[in-house]
Amino acid sequence: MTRDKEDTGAIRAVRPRGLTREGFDALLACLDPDRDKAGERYEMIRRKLVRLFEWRGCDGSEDLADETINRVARRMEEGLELKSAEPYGYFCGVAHLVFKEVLRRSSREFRALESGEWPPPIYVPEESEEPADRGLECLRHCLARVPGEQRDLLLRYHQGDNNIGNRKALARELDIPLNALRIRVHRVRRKVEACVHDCLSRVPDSSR
Amino acid sequence: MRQNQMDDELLRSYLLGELPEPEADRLEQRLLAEDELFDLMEALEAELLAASSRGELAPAERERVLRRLASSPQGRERLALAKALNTVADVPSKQAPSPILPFRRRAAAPKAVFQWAALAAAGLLMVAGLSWFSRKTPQEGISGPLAVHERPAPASPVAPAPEESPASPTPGAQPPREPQRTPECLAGKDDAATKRPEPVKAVLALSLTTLRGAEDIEEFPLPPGADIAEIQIDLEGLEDSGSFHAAVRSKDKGTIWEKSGLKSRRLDWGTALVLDVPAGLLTPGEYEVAVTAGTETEAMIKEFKVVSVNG
Repeated sequence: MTRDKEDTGAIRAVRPRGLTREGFDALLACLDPDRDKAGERYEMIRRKLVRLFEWRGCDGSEDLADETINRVARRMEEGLELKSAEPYGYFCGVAHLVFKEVLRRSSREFRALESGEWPPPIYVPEESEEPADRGLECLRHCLARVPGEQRDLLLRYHQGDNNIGNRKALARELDIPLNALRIRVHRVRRKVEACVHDCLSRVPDSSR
Repeated sequence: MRQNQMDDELLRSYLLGELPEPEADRLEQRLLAEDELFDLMEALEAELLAASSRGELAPAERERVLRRLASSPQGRERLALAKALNTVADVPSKQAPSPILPFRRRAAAPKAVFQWAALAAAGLLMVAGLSWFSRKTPQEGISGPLAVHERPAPASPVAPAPEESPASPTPGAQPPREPQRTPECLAGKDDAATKRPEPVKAVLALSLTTLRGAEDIEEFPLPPGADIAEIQIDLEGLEDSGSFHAAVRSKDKGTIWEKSGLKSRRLDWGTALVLDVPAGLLTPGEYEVAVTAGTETEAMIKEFKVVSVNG
């Protein structure tokens, strides 16, 4: 789904297509009186909704997240008031409705298909499959762009066969709980992931 | 710890689609509201994908992971990243990666302890990496288990306009040296004479965490042609702190540069505070950069050493 850029100040929150300017304004106003902070919260909620739909196994998770946001915003435009500190419950409730609609639609499609092609085949990579060269190139390029200690941390976290043991040792070394280490590493990984995604979208795939 | 294990189990079950619907609903509400829990969920997802690509999961579990987490294009991309990270991390390195020390503070301040401890837990890793942003300069001094060939780029590749609220070089500081430009900076543009020439930048990415065994002060090789020393400071975990005050202090001359009202900037490796310090102020010697977030009174401090580079 195409999204229209909407300048909320320092943060460029992106208004989903199909949502009126008024609805979008009402939504942002509900999230935070400060438009910049509202923009940040909006983008965070959207990102999380996308992931929740992915974890539920939905196709088109971005569209479903936008649909959820559109419905919430429309209700706000109609005068629904939420406690701005805790709007998540409402978003979650609407997301579940959207998800159930997806399930019903899928179920109808499944019955219509009446084939053995459902659920979709699992992607099973070959055991010997190596990461594509350009993926590795992009990863190396992106690792080089994060500060060295973050890079070391990320790579040490992924090193070796005895990962659990290694990670516990690393957490002890840092004197932090394992979950804090996981989160710390993940935040570095997220930066790298965004960079790799960007890199792959720019680098032509010579294998194609 | 028991709570952590419970969360781990809960999150893992959710990821594998094994959580009963009411529990999944409750968990999703928490995931929307709690950033740390959400990050932990993504971290566990990445771990499952990495374990799957290493062949560390039982066949049935691996199939479940692939079906649940790697069937979408985005999921396949994450799986590919996990696999690539495993590959790169396992490349034998000549130099073992340095152990990492927790966030180091100059002095404890009770009022600020909570925030900084939270920041440390939130992954405030600030790292020193050095970059000379001249396209022809070879890259050296790379540490870590991976031979990487690039360094952080300047926040803005084009010459920055004069700073909106000029930083104040402290009295007694040396004036900036006369700008010198590499020929490539001036060549190839028809209107070069009518445009402001681009300043040459040297980039230093800083961290306030320290690698064990690497407690020596970071060196910043500043070439004589540099106009701007761009100091990039990782702000992960500090994005909501509003504005910042930063100061660069010389061991000999005291504060040589400072500026308030600095805002974070999004660089290609993350959110950072970018300090454009006139290179002429940074004569060879020992320095520290002090960053104070928002309304805090205590600064985070990182030392570095400027060394001259011939050529």
